[in-house]
Amino acid sequence: MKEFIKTKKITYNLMSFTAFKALILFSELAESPKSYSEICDIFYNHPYLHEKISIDTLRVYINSLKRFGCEIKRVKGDDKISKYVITSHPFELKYNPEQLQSALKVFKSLVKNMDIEELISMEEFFEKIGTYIKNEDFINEAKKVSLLKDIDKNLLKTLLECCEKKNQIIITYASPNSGEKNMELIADKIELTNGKIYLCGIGFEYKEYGTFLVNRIKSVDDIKSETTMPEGLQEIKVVYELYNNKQPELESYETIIEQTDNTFVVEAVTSNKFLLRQRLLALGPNCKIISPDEFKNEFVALLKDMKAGYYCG
Amino acid sequence: MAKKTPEKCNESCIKMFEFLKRLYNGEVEFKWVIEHFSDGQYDGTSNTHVTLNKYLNALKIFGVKVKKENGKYHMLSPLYKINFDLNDIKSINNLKKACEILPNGKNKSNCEEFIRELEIRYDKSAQSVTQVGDTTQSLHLAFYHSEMAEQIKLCEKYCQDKLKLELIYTDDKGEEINLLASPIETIYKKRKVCLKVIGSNGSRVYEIPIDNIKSVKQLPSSVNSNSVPTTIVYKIKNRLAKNYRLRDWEKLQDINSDGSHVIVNKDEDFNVLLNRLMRYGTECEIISPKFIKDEMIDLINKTLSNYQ
Repeated sequence: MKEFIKTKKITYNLMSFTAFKALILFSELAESPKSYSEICDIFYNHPYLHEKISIDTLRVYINSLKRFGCEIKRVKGDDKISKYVITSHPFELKYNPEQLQSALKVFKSLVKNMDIEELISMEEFFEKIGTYIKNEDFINEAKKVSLLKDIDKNLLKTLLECCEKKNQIIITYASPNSGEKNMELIADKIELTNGKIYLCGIGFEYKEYGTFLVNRIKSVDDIKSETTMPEGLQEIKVVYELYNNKQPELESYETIIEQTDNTFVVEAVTSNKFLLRQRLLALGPNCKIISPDEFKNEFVALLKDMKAGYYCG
Repeated sequence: MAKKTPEKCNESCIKMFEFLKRLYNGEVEFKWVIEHFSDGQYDGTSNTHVTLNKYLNALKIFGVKVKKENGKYHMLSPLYKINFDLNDIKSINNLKKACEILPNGKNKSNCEEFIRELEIRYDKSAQSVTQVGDTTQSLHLAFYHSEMAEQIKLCEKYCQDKLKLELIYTDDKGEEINLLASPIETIYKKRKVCLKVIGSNGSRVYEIPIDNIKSVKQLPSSVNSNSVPTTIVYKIKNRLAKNYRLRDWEKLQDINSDGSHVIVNKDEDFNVLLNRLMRYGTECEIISPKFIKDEMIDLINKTLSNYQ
């Protein structure tokens, strides 16, 4: 071997040529169909071999591979020339159903902790494995787990790119209320909530920050080269106290402006009052709105209406 | 009818492939290899060693790296490889990290085997990516902290043991809560790991973030397999009813003539559910059971009291 490393010359004393040829033949036929003459050329042009192979010797190699467990077929291409190909072999990836179920179970435990990019990668990975093991059911089960079942992955990748660049885009959106229509927005982020994927951004129609279900987006029709904020966009600044023993998990539009023991004073700047109101409602008694009065009064009126619903309903 | 003569084969080649197949399954003892190549007639002479070396060299020159260590052969670079890109490697590593924290058992060993079968088929680029460093940094999972991993393993064990638990945990406000409960499962929610339990009184479901758990004591009594979580029924209306997507643990019971939907919810932490239903404002109303309806009214009243 030392001699080979030095001179790069192969001798019969150094290695088994028979084994070497068998390895070449295996890898060539596993890669794609090859005719006898193509195999001869490969052997003849190989730097360590420089010799052709007789058809009888080739048969011996093929019989050996078959005996080992390779499935070798003879196929004819458009040129009508007979070619050999390995369609399956013992080194292929093989799993029993329990191993596949365990992998899916672990994927399921991860799915809600991943961001969208990781989720796309993981689904594509499982799809790849499913293709290698020729198991369509496994691919479908992985898709069910991944939450991307009804989502066009290429479209999702485009949207992710747009969010990264904060692009101003025009999408075709199938709205449940007004049907299919074009919508213009400045893409901000892709969010995963309750197993649903949303595109978040500033919409031009209602001139406010909004969320759009990705599986209702049919296409991205235009990505504008420049971004301009919609005219008349009105942002509201709301200040509230959060009573929490731990550092609260904030939204992108929130900042802590003051902090005492268990009280955090938070300032939110947003164009979407509806989403903010929903968030503050979910915080319940752990949150108290300080300003502005108009927003606070609307909030209190809503709480009173909710209460009335239980006594009058 | 003429008897079919067996087709001529090269036995040594078959032996080499069988050796490779063994290497795909893990380490191979030198003793087995030498016996294999000498047809079980190894007599200690150097001939078999020479033959074996020639085969090992053929593999090496072809690019299959086989290393002998402590009397065992390992395959470092395989004959048949799978082309994995960087994202695939990240996904495999994410699975691997999640698998590490599983409790010992069939699930863990099956998953480890799943990953091993992939790693043994790594091509050169996949091997170099793995060697460069941790590819799971983008996955900000709390359970990567070793301290948390131990707690998760314990929680998984509690669920497997099926014994009742005496728990002390802190709620959102930091107040300590004592609870007698039956463990159900560990769940992963929004980058948090929770122990899901069903309370001994009232079949109430709790999802307790494991970092809020202060102490757990296993009791000598088994969990009651007949305990059923309380079912909560609520009504949603208007735009919410149109756009609402049912959770896995919910079902649509009825659609009223006014377009409102009646939803039956089972198996969700009551506090999590109440906070979620609060979000929906006047578009949602709890129908039953009465005690949950009262809790909702109490939650609204407490929120209102902040402004009085």
